[in-house]
Amino acid sequence: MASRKNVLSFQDIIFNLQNFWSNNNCTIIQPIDLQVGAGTFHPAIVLGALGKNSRNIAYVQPTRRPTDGRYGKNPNRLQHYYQFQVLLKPSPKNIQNVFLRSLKSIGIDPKKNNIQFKEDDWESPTLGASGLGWEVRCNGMEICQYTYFQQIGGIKCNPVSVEITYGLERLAMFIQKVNSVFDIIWNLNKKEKKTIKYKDIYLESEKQFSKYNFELANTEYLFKYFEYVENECKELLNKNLPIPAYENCIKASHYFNMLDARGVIGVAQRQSYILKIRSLVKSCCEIYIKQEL
Amino acid sequence: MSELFIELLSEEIPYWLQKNSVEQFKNKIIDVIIENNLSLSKKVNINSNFTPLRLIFSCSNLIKEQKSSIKEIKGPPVNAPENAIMGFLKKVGISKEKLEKKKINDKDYYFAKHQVIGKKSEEVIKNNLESIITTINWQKSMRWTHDSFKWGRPINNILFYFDNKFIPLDFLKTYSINNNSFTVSHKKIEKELKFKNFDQYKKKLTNSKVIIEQIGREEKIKKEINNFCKVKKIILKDEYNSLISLNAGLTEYPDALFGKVQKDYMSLPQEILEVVMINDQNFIPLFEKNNNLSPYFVIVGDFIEKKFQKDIVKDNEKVLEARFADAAFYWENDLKIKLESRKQLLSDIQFHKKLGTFDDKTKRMEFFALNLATQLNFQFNTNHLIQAVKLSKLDLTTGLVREFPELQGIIGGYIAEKEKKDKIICLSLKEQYLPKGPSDLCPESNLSILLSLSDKIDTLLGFFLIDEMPTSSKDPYALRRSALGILRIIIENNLKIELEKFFNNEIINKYNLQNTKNFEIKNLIIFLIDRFRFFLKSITKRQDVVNAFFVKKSFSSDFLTLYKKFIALNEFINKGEGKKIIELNKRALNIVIIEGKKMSINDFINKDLLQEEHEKILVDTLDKVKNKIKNEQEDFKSVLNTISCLYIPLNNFFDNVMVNVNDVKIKSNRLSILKKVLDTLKIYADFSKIQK
Repeated sequence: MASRKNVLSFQDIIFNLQNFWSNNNCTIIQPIDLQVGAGTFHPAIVLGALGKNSRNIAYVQPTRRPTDGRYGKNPNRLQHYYQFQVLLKPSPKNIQNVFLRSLKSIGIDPKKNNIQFKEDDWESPTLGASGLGWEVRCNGMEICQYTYFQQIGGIKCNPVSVEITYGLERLAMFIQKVNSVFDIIWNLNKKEKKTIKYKDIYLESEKQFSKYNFELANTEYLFKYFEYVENECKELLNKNLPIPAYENCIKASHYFNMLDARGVIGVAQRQSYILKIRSLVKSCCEIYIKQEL
Repeated sequence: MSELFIELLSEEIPYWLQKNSVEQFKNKIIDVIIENNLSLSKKVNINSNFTPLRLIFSCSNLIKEQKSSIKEIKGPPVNAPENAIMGFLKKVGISKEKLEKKKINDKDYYFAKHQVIGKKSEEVIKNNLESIITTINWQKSMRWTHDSFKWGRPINNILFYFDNKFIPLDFLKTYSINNNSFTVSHKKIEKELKFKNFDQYKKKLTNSKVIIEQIGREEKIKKEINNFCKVKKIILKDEYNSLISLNAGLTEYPDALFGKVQKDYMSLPQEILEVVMINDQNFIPLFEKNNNLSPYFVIVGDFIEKKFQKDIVKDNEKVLEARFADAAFYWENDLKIKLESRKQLLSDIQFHKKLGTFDDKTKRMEFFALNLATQLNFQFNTNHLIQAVKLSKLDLTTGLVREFPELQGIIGGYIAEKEKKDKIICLSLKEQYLPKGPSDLCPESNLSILLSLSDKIDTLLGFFLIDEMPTSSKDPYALRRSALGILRIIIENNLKIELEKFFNNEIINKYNLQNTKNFEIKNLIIFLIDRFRFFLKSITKRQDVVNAFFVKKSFSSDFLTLYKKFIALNEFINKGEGKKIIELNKRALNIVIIEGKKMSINDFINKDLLQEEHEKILVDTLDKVKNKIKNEQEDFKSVLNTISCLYIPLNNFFDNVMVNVNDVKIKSNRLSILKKVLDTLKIYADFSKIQK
């Protein structure tokens, strides 16, 4: 690690991406303050990608996948991690060039590396959403997803948005040339010559949450929580409040993920839970788009 | 003469869609050229190429302008109501006095002579281009900026050149697609390239690292790999040519780089290493001369300058190692639980809602396999067979198979080896899914055959029983592949079995299904015959011979015998005697068809009416031949030899016996002889369907 002093820290990567997209016509918004399984769940995307109005936004989203926890022992897997999301509606011409320049802004020069666009069409059964696109690989490692949304909540997207998702930990590991996510340099304080690493912030949390997600979460409660938010969502839909109704879908989805991590949902049951969430999301989207008109 | 050339520049088109879409694109343009007479000679030089970013069509020797011509348009009858005539005048745009009259079937009609003024070729193509581009049929298509435009992937630019001139396309504006007169270089060079004709275009692209020919890219990769292999004394296996094509389809300027697997991981089962390399990364594994996996593998990059190669290889190796580490982790964990103690887990995995779990499937397979073994007179050890079937599906519960489903069977075999199970059992576990595709090997050991057959039969029969048969477009359970597998195993291992009899009630009852009322065994046999025809056609490339062979409606389901009979025919018709028989059959058929229109032809030959020596000989020979064809069940070569005995008497008959005589009785009798010739030959095959 010859040039460790000049290496881009995790927070630098975020700053640079924010600056880059801010300079490219995006509004930098903030994450949704709920537990989501992917950056796409943000209402600014699920609801925002619907309708005619143009919308260019970017933000960092903390993301949770309870089943991916490994008690802090696996160098690549976390139950809590970060995504950098960009949504551009309508999809601009030659957006791929802009995207490649964004990589350069975080020290990945497409001329010096092997950047591949590998076919990877996207589908989210819970959101009733799908799109066509690619996973972007840099020297064999998946670093981004690049998707043209075709439908969300069962509704055809018109105009079509393009969504770019950067896997921040993967990017940082690649940029900093470290082999474990926990060795990522989060902040390099040059004045005090202090380095804050990913593990200083999240290792203990990964251990505790893995134990909680896999072993301790009270499934009886979780089943009830699911039922509560499901009912709340329906109530709110009856009152024509699709935005808070949708937030309850996000909660339902998280409880479902927790139940899944606890291994208490069978194959057939699993499908019925996914369908329940999807039909709620669909109703939220339908009412939201009606109001926009 | 003018040159036409079009480039559609897009974002990355997936490899599996490239070839088909460029073919469609090409054919649609050729249709326009032909329909509009834009080419005078048949010597148009057509080129179609593709890269992941480009579909390219070029063609020389087109005319600049269509010739003007006069076209005659038929109108209404002369006595038609006035408004019909007015309508016609309006349509053709001329006045009534210019109409001409012509008689058709005793009725006078108006005709308009219409001068078609030749259009410029560029206009003709331009006017058709929107429909050509938008009607390419993609198996998967998408919308992007503009809602009503659907295509495989977003188009960045469309370039249309005719007669060394860039021609703008107005319709692109509506779809917000660029219409620049230049193209772009390889992404890493970031240049705009200007040119006048296709030749310059190609040259400039080559100079800026774009090889537009798929085959050129493939050859570049192969050459670089072969050079490396020579140095390292290792080999590239032919079966990985498809991986080379895939990589060539993912790059505009492929550069082969070479990575090395760390020693620690080389102790993992070879198949695991291969699958991880290929499926995850499209890396191409290289082999030692003894066919063992070598530690070297190929990474195909897209234009990689020398100075960056080392770092890129290192990064790729790291990604691969992380995946190997995952696999090694699963492998170690999987070895901790004995195969036998996975039985409970297996009953949690559903095979199909109506067909039960994999545990249920295994129970049926055991019964089927024992039954098959008896019917096939196999020498086998009952304990081995029962053990192999019981173990066969247990590896579905392992972490490795969940992560790498294509390793099913192989992992079970490896675990069984580690558990010191009998070698023949381990081998059968590994081979139970063979053949996986049309070019894959079939199993050969008795145990492997029984395992593979009983598994495939269980799947095929099961889905037919619950009425989940494949349709022309959908085959979600890959039943065609199962059927082909069954047929190939039977044929390649010389197994005589009548499948229709095998699918008896005792077998069907094993599924414990309440409702099978839609099931008819006939449909399953028809499906198998259909696959069998497909198979025969694919190995002989002779659709005509296949059609000639399958003239009857029903067939025995002993596919080995059918196969032998077919192959004997295929060899026969390629020999001189066979060709002669085809010819005489045709001659006889012609006479029977022509005369059959004038009089009915009897099936019965009246021997008392035989006058000439040569007709007597022919009739005698016919009886012998018919007997032989009907009664010989095994030795089809000798049947066909007997058929060729017909040649001389039949030829003599044609040369010496008049069919068309005045005596109607004798004529009719001679036609009956010819008809019998045809009917007799048809018992084996319809020779009239065979082209030379």
